[in-house]
Amino acid sequence: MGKLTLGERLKNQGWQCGSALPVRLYPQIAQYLGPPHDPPHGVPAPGDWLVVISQSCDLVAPTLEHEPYVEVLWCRAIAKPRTQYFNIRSTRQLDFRPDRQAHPNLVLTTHAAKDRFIVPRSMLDGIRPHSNRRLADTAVRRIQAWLALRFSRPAWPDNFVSRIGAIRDTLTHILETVAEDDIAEVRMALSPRDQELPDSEHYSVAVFFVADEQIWKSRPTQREAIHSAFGRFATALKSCAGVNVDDQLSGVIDGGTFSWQMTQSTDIWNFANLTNRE
Amino acid sequence: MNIAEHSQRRSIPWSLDTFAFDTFGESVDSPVITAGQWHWFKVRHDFPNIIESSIRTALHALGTIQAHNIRSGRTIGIIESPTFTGADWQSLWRSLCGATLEATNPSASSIRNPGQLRTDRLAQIQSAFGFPLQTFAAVLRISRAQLYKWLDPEKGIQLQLESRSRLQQIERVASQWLVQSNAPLSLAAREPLPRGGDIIGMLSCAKFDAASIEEALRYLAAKTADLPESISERMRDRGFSRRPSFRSLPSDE
Repeated sequence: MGKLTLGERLKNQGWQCGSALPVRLYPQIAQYLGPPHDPPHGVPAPGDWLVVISQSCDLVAPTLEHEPYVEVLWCRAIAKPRTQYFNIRSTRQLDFRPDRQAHPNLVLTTHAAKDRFIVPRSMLDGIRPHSNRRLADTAVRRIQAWLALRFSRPAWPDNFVSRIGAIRDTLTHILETVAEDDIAEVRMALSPRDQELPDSEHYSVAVFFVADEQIWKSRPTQREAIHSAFGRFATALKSCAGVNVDDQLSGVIDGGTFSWQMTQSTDIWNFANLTNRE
Repeated sequence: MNIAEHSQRRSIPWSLDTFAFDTFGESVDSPVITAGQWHWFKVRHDFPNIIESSIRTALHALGTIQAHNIRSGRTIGIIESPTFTGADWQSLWRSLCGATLEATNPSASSIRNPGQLRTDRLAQIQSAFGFPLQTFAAVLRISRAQLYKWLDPEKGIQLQLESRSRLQQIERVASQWLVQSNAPLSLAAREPLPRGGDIIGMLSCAKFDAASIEEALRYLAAKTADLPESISERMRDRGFSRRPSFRSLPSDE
């Protein structure tokens, strides 16, 4: 049998996305935990978590030439999740629960830019991940979605964001019904989509509540919840000065009908879209 | 299965709690609605969709009663009219489905405002129809702008008698459709009817022909059941499931 590659060794040692570095490795790794060209932040406290967020397939790539580094997120414990930072409400800061089963009372916080570092993958060779710390699948998915959203979210004009700022809490409340059950996706077309308009000019928006096809065709009660949320959402938007909701286009649409073309003309609604000036 | 039969089948898993009705002719959009004018009830039995629709239809069939929002999770009341009291409702309900209504005293926060009741009714109709807003407005015989006002729960609107009557007729059609199909009527909305025209034309017409509409609904329900599966439905059948969105992750609150 031939010699194992680095990737195979790391796999055998149990490394995967969501693994946490053992505390004893913190002093050696501290040199990498800082911004480029600046001194490192210091050695993490034993209660801090350093979690690997590279995809598992990258983590176990055969050689260093393929993947020289792993991405690590420095997470610190906090007392409880903060309203503005949990459930991906901010693209900068995330408060999350790493594992409800193993650590029911633990909440961590991390910053997408300040707490994200790359560490030589070779440093993990011969070392096993922390035995008692590991991100649950849910936490891994949440962190991946959070980081992806940071780059994929549309940057709506500040002046548009300001105009709907007053109804933000209302919209959050309305969307809870459809978001938590994952029965519909809210998409919005904005015109102009990237210009700061003076107060004298309107932004036009078309709002679509795209219903899951299966729900659309067979679940009247959930359709009712979607229609109800749409009505309240659209009327709340209409109440904003300088925002013109296109009545002819907006509405609830079957996911089987909502086309690729419409996807390209709309942005998925996410409150992270509004956090650019927090 | 009718309501009486269903009420005897206690083995069905039930899961409902509260109900509400308003009496025909009493506008739920009345600007002044206080707890004192309402009778609040909690029902001990739960009904699957089809039975809920049957109850609604049965109430409609009584001719003088309009029922809405008969579904799980709602806190609702009954508006008493001079000729129909809370006790009458108890008795009527018992005769319909054998369930006992328990009088309750909801908190002030659970008493919804008239605008909310109105928007709930519209959402319930749309759950049956699934029409674009322009079509829905045409069916209600109001303008699109007017429909948006109706959809705003914060707006106090006193419906004119004609609008109220139209809303009740359309509500009845929506209930009839839900008894026959779980799919939205919009799926078959442009299907030519045997006697010519389509259902949207019939529903939008100033003269409301209830018998013809009922016949058309039966025809369209059969058509809807025969619709070919979409590509995504065929994919699902073959195990290609939709990837859940991250918004469905459990809250970290």
